[in-house]
Amino acid sequence: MRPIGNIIHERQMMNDSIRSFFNSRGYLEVETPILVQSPGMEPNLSPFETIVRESNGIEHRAALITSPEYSMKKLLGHGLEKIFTITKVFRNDETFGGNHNPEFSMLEWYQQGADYQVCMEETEELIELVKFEIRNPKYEEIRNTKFEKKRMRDLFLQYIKIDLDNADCKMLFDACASHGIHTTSNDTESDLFYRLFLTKIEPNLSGNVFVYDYPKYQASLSRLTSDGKYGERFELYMNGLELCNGFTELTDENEQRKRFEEEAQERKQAGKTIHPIDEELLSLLPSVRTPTFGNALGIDRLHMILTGQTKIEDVILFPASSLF
Amino acid sequence: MSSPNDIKKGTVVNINGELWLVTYFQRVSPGKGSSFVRTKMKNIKTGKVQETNFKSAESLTFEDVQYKKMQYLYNDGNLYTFMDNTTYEQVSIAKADMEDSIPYLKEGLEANVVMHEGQALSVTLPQKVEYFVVYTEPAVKGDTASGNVLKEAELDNGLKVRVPSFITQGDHVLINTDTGEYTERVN
Repeated sequence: MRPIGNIIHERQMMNDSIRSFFNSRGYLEVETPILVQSPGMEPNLSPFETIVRESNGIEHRAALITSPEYSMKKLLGHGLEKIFTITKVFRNDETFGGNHNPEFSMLEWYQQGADYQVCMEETEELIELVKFEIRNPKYEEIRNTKFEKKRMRDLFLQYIKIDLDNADCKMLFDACASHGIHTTSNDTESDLFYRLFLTKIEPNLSGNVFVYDYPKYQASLSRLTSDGKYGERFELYMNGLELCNGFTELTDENEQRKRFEEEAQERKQAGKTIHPIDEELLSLLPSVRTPTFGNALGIDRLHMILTGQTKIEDVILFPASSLF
Repeated sequence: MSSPNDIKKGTVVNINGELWLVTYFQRVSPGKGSSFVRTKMKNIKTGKVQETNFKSAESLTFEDVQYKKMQYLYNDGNLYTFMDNTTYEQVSIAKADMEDSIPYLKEGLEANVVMHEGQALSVTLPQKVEYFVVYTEPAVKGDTASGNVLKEAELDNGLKVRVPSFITQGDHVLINTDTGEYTERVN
């Protein structure tokens, strides 16, 4: 248990410095809804589901957002060029404590006309500023660590000795076997890739590392690289903790619809609720310029990293473990 | 068959006939793709510790283990002995099999001993355990105004923890045995 005064003070400094960073760069702060009809579609996420009832008794299926992404992209489609939001997001089926809490604070920002490389630079500058604001000599070591950028393909060459450019399912499977990594017969390319990453690469990500260019089966909502093999996606690891996930955003509404449908299918197979496709988002997507970057950053995790904490419970005032 | 999502500390997983005791677990949800459960497991036979990651969609065989309520009696070098209060049966567990729990032990503490085919594998402690404070400095005047100032306290089993400044010698406190942290004062 940390003194609550410290937590409050640190968080206020963080939020203030985040806002002044974006204000000084011409971003607009926007408010986005938390209660929506279509929350995130990602197959591995479980939104909190509820029912919205009007006074006349008409009911609507609803859920709490897992990220403000859809609303943010609609605003881009309405012509806003640079926007950010700080909001609460919700994910069910999470561990209480450690790196997770079912309700957490997220910073998301988008810029039209710039790609994920620009976004990585901006992320680094943002974190440098927030670090500077939280002045605590105890954390000098974290402050002075330089940021590195590492392509996923290079990490696989270094630690696993396989080339992701032409690694098929069998090669990934053999690599798992030769490193003694547990697999199952129905593992997909994506599963095998991630098993290797979790076991052999993630533990080696010390310092501040941007890992970028994910294989296309892990492209998520990112645009593909020019050779079509990777998604222009990055994650930032600080001291081994995953802090944010950014993309050059996919702006093709047909490709987006296809990915939504695939995800709906995966949700169905996993026995999860299939949320309706957000048609308003798809209709506004063509108005978003290419390239446009977006990044989602966990504020609580940044708070942990910058103050040397290892448990999310130590940077939030009312962690789930004390509420439930 | 069971889901990796149901894994807890103390779960025993049967993988190809070998039994593994889970000593650590954490769910991992990547930005894309399946979610995973990251575990550290100890082979019950060989003692080998291994990190294994399970996809949430996998099905696993959990070995049927019993959790027996027993009282901690004493420690004799490398062995920690517990007793069943109704049958007076005693079992001993090796230090290496219960490393995380050792700082929280105190005589008479009730814990769940993980039993498998008559053999004691490990022990899981209650999440919160009550101790009394044998020593702590009195609060410095003025410190209490700001609320949560922490200071060191020594507990009846020798464990040292950080407690709020309003705690005085002789107070009873609850300590979280997962994190080693003070949770509340018992009145």
